[in-house]
Amino acid sequence: MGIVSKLLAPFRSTLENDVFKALVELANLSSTTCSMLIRMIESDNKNLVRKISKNERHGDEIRRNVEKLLFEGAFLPQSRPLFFTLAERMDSVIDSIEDCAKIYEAAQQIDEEIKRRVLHILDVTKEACDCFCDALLSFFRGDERRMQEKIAVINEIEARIDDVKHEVFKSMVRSRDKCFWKEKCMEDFVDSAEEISDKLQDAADTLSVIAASMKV
Amino acid sequence: MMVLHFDGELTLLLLSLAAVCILNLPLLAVMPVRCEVLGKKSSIAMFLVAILLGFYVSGNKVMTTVSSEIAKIDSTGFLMASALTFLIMITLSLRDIPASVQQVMVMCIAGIAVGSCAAINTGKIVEIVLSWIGSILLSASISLLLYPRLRSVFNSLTPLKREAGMRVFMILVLFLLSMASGSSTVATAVSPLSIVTDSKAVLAGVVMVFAFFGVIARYWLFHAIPPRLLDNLDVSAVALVQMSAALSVFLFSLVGMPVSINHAVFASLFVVSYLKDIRILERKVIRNFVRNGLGVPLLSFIAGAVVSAIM
Repeated sequence: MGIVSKLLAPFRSTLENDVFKALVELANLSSTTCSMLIRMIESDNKNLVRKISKNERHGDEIRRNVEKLLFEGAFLPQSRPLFFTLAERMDSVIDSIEDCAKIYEAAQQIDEEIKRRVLHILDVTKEACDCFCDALLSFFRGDERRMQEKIAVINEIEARIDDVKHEVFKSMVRSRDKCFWKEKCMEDFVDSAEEISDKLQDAADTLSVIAASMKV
Repeated sequence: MMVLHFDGELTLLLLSLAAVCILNLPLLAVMPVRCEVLGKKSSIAMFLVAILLGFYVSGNKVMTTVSSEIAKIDSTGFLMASALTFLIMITLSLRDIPASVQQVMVMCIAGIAVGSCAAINTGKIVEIVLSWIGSILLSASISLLLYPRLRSVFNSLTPLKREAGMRVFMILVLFLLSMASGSSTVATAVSPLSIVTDSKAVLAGVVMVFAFFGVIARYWLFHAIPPRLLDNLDVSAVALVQMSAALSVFLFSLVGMPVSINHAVFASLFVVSYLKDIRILERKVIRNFVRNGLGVPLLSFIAGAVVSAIM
């Protein structure tokens, strides 16, 4: 690095910009992967698991890149652990989408009613993923009000998904089909679909904490 | 023309000056390094340049006040004042008691003048004591005025611009704080030396050498750890606290008053923690601050008087 670049370094936000771009990419990737999972279940095309796994690996790369940028000095030291956590939580959203896809792939047969309800859960989760992208962009644009609105929507969606999950479990308990492995697969499937929104809510909470901690 | 009396005297003066510099100078100017805004080398370079600038801009007035306006004592008296300051500062630092070089030095000189029945300018001492109180009030007022403005400016920025702004602000604060150190702390520490040499270039050289070793020793010994009290505040608030203190000290040094940076920082910290509604300063800390603020100058005065009476 030349002397001029060194002198101007504190005035620039190159590393921070790179972190911002990487986080937005990670958020968009989670939304795309969620759409892919919906398509996979709707069309019963189990080959899409490979594409979802590829996205998951790409998500890991982006997370590692964010961590590297933070180690290189992006943001002030007191904010770094929070951005580190945010990247990890956003990556875990994609991990849980992959889990759901793999459980669906492994399941022999899923009850149509359960499938319909899980698709509903995933549709709403996709909406939450888009809200998270919007919240992240609003945060970096400095529009905290919009960010908080979007985070509130994510929390509301998560509560709705919880309700749907409990309804699904109730209907599973009431069903006459008592095959343990079939029930186990369905339960895991519903659980994994619900977990995506849980992870998304965790990421949204971290974003909220970052916004609060960066205020003067 | 430089006039030196004898080697032992000069060595002792330089040693006292070194100790004072090592103990006090870089105490607060470590935040940009800790926040990785500046590297250690750039930070030290900026620190030294700003110290020299502060020393040249207003250090002379402070030096004149300390060396010739408080009391009419000879070079041996100044040697004693310097050595006593050195001893008191070392002892208090080892006991973890924050003390001001300016207060210790001024009161040692006054004590020596009383002990040796030399002429003492009581009006000037009253003026200096009032400026100690004034600097505390000014620092608190600056914080009170600047904090809401700083807050609204920073919070209106996007997070990325806020980060860049914060870094620039920290560098500015380092510069101001170092200038204030140069114009007040360094000038006070160097003032006994101005009795044995009238060359400003020599004084500046001595300042640079000891400030350099002071900052190196501080980084090496204390790994760039700022005072514990400031650890409870966020970076912007710490920078504001330091800026208010630096401005207050610098303004007072422009009129030749040797005031303490530590005490100005404490006053500003009190105001900022109150405005942020954070309870940083417990009663015990405030009590200790008041006790030390009154006790250390009194101790220095008595020590000066007793030592000069005995010798």
